[in-house]
Amino acid sequence: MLKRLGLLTLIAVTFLLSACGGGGGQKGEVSYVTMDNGKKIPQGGTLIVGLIGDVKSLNPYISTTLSGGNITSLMFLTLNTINPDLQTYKPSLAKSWEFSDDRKELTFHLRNDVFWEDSVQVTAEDVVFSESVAVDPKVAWSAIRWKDYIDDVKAVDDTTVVFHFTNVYPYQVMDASVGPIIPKHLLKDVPRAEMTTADFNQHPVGDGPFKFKSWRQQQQIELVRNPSYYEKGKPHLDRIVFRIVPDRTTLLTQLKTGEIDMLEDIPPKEFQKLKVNYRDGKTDIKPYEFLGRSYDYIAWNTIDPEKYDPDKYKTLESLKEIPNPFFADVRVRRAMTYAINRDLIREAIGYGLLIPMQGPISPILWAYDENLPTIPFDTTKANQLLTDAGWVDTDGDGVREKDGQDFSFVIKTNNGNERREQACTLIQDMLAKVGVKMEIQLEESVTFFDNLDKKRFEAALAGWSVGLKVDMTTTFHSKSVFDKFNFTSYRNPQFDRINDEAKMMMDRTQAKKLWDKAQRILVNDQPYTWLYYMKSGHGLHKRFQDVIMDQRGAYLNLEDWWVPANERKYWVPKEQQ
Amino acid sequence: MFSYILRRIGVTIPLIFLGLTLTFFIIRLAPGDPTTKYINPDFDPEVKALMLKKFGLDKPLHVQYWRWITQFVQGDFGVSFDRSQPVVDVIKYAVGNTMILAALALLVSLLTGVILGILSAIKQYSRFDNAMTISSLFFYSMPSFWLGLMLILIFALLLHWLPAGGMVSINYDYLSSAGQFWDRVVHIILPVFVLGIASAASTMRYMRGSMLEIIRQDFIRTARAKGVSERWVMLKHATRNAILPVVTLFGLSIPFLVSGSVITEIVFAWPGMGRATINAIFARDYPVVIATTAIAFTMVMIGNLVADILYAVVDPRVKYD
Repeated sequence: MLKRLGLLTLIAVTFLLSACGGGGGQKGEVSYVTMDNGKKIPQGGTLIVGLIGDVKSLNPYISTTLSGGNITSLMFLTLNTINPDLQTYKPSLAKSWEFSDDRKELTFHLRNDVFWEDSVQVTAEDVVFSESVAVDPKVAWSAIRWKDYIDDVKAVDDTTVVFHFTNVYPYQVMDASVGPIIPKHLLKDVPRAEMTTADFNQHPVGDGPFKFKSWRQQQQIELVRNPSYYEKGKPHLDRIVFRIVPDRTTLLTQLKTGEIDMLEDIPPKEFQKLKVNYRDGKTDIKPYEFLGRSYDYIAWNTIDPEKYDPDKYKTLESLKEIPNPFFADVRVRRAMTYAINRDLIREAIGYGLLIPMQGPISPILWAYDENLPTIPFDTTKANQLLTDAGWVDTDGDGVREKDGQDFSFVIKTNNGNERREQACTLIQDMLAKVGVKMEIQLEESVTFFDNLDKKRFEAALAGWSVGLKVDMTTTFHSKSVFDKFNFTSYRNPQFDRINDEAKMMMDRTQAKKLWDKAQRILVNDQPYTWLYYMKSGHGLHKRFQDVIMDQRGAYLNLEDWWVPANERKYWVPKEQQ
Repeated sequence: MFSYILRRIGVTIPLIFLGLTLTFFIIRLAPGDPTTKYINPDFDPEVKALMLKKFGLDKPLHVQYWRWITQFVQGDFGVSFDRSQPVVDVIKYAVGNTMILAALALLVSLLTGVILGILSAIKQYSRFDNAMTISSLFFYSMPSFWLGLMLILIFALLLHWLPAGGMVSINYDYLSSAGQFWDRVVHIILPVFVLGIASAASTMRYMRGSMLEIIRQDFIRTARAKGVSERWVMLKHATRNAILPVVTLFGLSIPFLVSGSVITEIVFAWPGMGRATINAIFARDYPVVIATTAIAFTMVMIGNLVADILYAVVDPRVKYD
């Protein structure tokens, strides 16, 4: 009986499923729009993006996650957007801008045809208001420091706004434009201390190509076409849905089943499979590959026990530098890099998505130096350097010693990151071959970061995501040893001087020469062993046309994406649009 | 009976407070704070200080504790650091979602467990009994994440019968109300199965064992001897006595109605309490951690109480004064 009932239910399930299969919604007439270049583009279509976690807030000044920033960038315009060269800008809310003769005033001229969803015009007052939110300590926006050199923002009239700077430096336009413009008339009455929990953050009102429709916590965020968007005929898609799926395997499965259309940062091995399958016509998911924004490195604790003066350096109670017997010696750090076969690591775990890296400046930035000296894989050199530094295997147990101490250390990394765990395992093996014993310790992410921050490590495999400014102050400058991210306690006055000079230099050619010099100092000193720079591998269903993705990200021109009428999967009922 | 319940509650409340106070301090012992995860060269220590101040974490711990406890007794759980909204708003969806899933799973596991357990015991060593023994061992030993992923592979990726996860589909808002109901049903089938099957297997084993013990006892033989039909003997005399251990199991399962199951919720993208709790722990979102702990604590206490009361209901020999 029970069995029969089960079978019946199963049949009923299949029947009903096929009855409501397909995309749902009614198929309708497709309307076309003719663009300025004469191209006829069908309107409509849904994009479904898979996200591993929910966003924190839909207010750009409260949100701290990358995906939150991507989603708000579709709803809120910024003054301008950066070009692929990562140096120049394309007009957006601002039509044009110019500097005063002394370069301390930057004037933006706004469009007069941009409106908030509630038909109120976007004006210079909104820009002034947004700036005041950006720099308010009670709001505590994570990028507040970008506004450090802006001391005043004034609206001259509805479409003219002036930024006053305290300094003249290369990133003035970038700093003025960072941070989307939010509506003053809806937020001016919210006390700044309550901005974090404002109702607006759950139901934002914007001026971008897409507008907010709904947010089911931990499930999905739905945006729909903003019919009053200022670029006529755009956007072409009528809906973007962000689905939150907390498990990576399920996310990949959903990409394969077509439940989601787009997935960012597919793991290298899966991405390799996707590329092969797409080439062979076995999948509709098209791979997109471009230079990413992050890299992995090993940080070596460089505090020298002999030169270490605790009274001089101990500035904060909770932060104590612990001298390290191994890596204070530059010969040892260089030996480590010689002993690590980075080409092999990239081949073993990268599947084509990891590229070589020698120094701290990312290949996407203008100051990248492709002729930076390399420390190649060379065990003879590694052995030589270790012996020179006094580390010799005298008792024949395979591990080098000095003054009775074994060369045995612990490397820490965060658990749950398969790439880093595998890299650690490979490195362990490589170092054993030059008589160095390395133990691997995996730590929960926040614990790991806390330990890095508090300098409780001998060596750590970690990563940085790179910003768009060329500056190494926070990671390698001696003034960042205690209160910033110079985990390794690297101190080199010569480097400090060059870095400080280069970062304020207006002339790019001159600045590049200094950055080349600064990088060579770091390569020589090896406070880090730079392991590899990562490419991003994204997957997107092939029905989407005119897609641009590059080192700036995947959300650059969603207003231009469109779906051919005969490949359309989802239909939103007319009355719901 | 009534005074017994009152006395139990009187003991329970201080216990809950003690537990929450412990949680308050233990979570602070975990390394890092809510801002540690924003590790990024552009994230300035001064911004970190501003954020900590915004969360009220710049004050000494005892001050924070006092603030928390005065708010808590007024029913105010505070504001979630990680989700930027009142803790109540974060949790209320999660509790509801978890309860639907867990209640159905509990129902499925109790019904199938009890029925199959009885059948197995009656037909001990039959082919049916052996099949049940093997399959219950199989499902009980299966890690739920693996079972979940396999079911997704089969039913979503290969057969396209059921969705791979989530509570509703993309077009939910555009469906008719019957369509919306059905959409919810197809989304809940796999998670209920995964969550229910392991406990169904253990319930079945308990039920079978307990039943086998009972049907060998004298009063069953007496009942048969006096001519009561076999069906009546089994249903009325044996089952009622054999079900006692399952009642304990049921009581112990009550907390699970709201605490959620992390693994199933993650694999099936189900937005419930398990996920809310684990996210809060990883993000060092102290107010949410304490709130979810408070709920779990309270439910454990209630669960034990309910189990004790149910004993009295099903077993006339148990009396509380």
